[in-house]
Amino acid sequence: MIEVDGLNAGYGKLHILYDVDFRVGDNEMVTVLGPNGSGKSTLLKTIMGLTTIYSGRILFDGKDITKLRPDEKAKIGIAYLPQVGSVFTNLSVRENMIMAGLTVGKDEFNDRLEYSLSMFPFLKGCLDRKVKTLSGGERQMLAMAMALMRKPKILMFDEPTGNLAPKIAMDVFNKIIELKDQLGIAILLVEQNVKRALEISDRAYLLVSGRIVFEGESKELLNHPELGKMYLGLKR
Amino acid sequence: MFESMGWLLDIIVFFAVYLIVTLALNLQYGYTGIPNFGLALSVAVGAYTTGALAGRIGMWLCGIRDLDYIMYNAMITSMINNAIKVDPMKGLIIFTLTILTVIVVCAFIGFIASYPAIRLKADYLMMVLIAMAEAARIIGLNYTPLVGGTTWVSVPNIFIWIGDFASQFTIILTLIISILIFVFMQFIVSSPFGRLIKSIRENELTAECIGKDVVNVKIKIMMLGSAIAGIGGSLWSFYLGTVLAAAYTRTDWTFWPWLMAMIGGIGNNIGALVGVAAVIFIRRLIIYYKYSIEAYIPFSVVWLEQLLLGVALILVMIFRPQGLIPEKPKKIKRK
Amino acid sequence: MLPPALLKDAIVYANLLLMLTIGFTLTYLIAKIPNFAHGEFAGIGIYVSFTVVQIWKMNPYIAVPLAFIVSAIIGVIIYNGVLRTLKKFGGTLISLTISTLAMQIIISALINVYADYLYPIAGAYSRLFMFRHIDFEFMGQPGVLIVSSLLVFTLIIVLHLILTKTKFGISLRAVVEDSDLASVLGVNVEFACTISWALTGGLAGMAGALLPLWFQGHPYTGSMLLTSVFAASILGGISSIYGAMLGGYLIGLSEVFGTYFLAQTFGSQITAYRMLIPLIILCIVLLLAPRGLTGVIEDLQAKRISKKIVRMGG
Repeated sequence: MIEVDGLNAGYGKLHILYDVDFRVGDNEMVTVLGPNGSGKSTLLKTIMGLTTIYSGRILFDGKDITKLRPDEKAKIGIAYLPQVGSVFTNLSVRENMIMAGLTVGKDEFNDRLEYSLSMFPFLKGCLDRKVKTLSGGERQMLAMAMALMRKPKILMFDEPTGNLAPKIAMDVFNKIIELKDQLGIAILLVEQNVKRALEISDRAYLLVSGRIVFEGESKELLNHPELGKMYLGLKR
Repeated sequence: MFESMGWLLDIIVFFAVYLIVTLALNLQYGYTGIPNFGLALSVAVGAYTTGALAGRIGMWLCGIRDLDYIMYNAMITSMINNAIKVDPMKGLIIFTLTILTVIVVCAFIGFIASYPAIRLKADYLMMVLIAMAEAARIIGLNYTPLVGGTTWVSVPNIFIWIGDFASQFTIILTLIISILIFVFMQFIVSSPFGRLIKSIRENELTAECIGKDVVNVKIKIMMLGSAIAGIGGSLWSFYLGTVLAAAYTRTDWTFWPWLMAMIGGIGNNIGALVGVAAVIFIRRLIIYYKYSIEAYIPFSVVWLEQLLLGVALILVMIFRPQGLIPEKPKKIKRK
Repeated sequence: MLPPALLKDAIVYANLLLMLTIGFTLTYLIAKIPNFAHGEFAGIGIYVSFTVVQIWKMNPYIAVPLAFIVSAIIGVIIYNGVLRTLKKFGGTLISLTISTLAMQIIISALINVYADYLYPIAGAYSRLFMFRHIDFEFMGQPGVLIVSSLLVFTLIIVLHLILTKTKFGISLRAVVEDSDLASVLGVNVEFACTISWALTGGLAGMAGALLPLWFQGHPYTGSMLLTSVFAASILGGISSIYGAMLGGYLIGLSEVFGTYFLAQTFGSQITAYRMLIPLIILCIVLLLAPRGLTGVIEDLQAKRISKKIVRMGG
């Protein structure tokens, strides 16, 4: 569904990604792993159009979307949940859902809202509360509910469990699996929790210093003897 | 021959005064990263202090009493000038005392103007400083005992004892002082204090973390820059021989220096020198060819200059924000 | 009791200042920089008014929507022509701010050029004028008092409704908080910014068009108002449009009443120092409560919540 060819990208003059080739199929869960600063977040941001692309292409269902604006990419079914700033804390829950459903027609909006809230029932009770009163885990769930409003074809998560307590992190992971299974969407997961990410995903990429050093089945990487060394960039 | 000499000397004094003011700006913004859009405040206060004080010191030295300084200003000034003709020492005293007072007053003004906002974002500081510069002008225009309000006051001619070349001497003195200030600036920026202010410009948070009292340093820089700009305003007044409150506009004494600093290259005293020279030269050309220019454009040259100023600022920022002479990183000596 | 003329002065001035302050705070929230050219939008409005009255010999109130359009266009030009170009070339926040100053110089010069140009055509002095005498009266009150008050009242309500009940308004608040996230969710951020700048310019332009109906208009009126706008924006709290409304009115009233009372005590020459009032208020607010009244209210609310938590044993 998403295909990235020879991508070189960065921020302004700061070159981060080097010749990245990358693929996520329909209804696949792909995880991107790597040490801090390796460019994982940049990869997601680049697919979304928030960085500077020096060369390469991004294809979505076969169409070249490299030059689209982020809001145009949102409209065609790519949902991006950033690591920080995934919800609007100064707006209420309902207003966040309205923002999430911007690209949805008026009639469909109420249906989608029902549907999102059914996957995250606790939100029904705090629709008019300002998001800054919600906890970290609740905000993450809200972000996912927002993502669902657009009936996305692919969900891209940037370290969704980053600041969360282990139990809440488990809830979030389970929810991600649930979304994939129940809704049949593709998931691209950037994670620091290597073991868990490899356990729940189908395929994995290892990104080190902006380059892909491994691509394969998650189970294969999980049991790979050299995983630690590759992660630290000591072995290709 | 003397006519073109006159033109040249005119440019020199413009250059010297604007160099002083631009160096002050460069210290504050170029090196320390504090954007000062109220530069005219310091220049104006320097000029107003000179206008208000020089003559009054003269009065005191010459024993002139019972005359209102503002109302009888012309008469008082010529009395003082006559006294200086006979006793040049009086001129020297007037000059020295005035300049010293200007330094103290402007440093104080620099403190007051920056204090409310120096801990806050640069945006707030910019707003306060611009407003203060306007306020200074309004006070100067309306508080008549200061510099005569909407009329002007005259400043004693400290070199009048030289005779015909008094003006030239004033210009040379101004140039010498500007060179001294340039040397002083170079000294400051290559000292440990200079490194400190540059580190504040680059990353305030880091500077604070290593224990430097950033706010304290910034206030000192504002005070120092203000004092220096004030000297510029004072020298300008001595050269002109008058202080007209309305003349210390933000266009003339904030925005033009900013263009000079940006064109020359911020964070770089040599850049300031180049920028001042370039802009002064172009401005003098425009004034010189004023009548030919006005034949082509349907409005006054004054507005043309302002339009050019605004457009130049934008163009410099888009195309060459580092200026003509970019700041070079210091080479670290290898051991 | 206060003389009625003073009250009218205060209300008209506060109305106009409120319109200016809302726009200033809006662009600060959207662009994250203070727009130092903001006063010139009003200056443009003032001269649209002069053109309408002295050149076209029409009713001054026609200038109001006209000024809205002209100033809105200038606002859009500033955003799309200058700011976006600068950003493309890697402009920092400081250089964007400097560019608004450059725009102030340019627009101010153009206003002066225009004023000079109009003088011979209009046969009336274009560098200082007032249209109070040609204003209409309704129930004994000057037209501008009624019109400006109605305008402000409508503006506040409409703005509140837009910001809380429409998709566009909510998107705007979203862009203010996090423009990347808004973009990712499908908001055309550039379009939202363009509309904001148009709105800012337009509101200021309208204020400028109404101004000569009560106060003197001259080429520098716009830039002279800027200090009061700063003070109003910061007093209200630069992070809030509602703060701008409150700040605008408070500063407007304090300026007029303050000048009046000072003149009673110190004599009428004190009125020349009028702009010192907003300046002093600005300094005091920055020293004591830089986040303005909005900040003070937020702090009080936070204290209330934390007290509740403590009492709950949390």
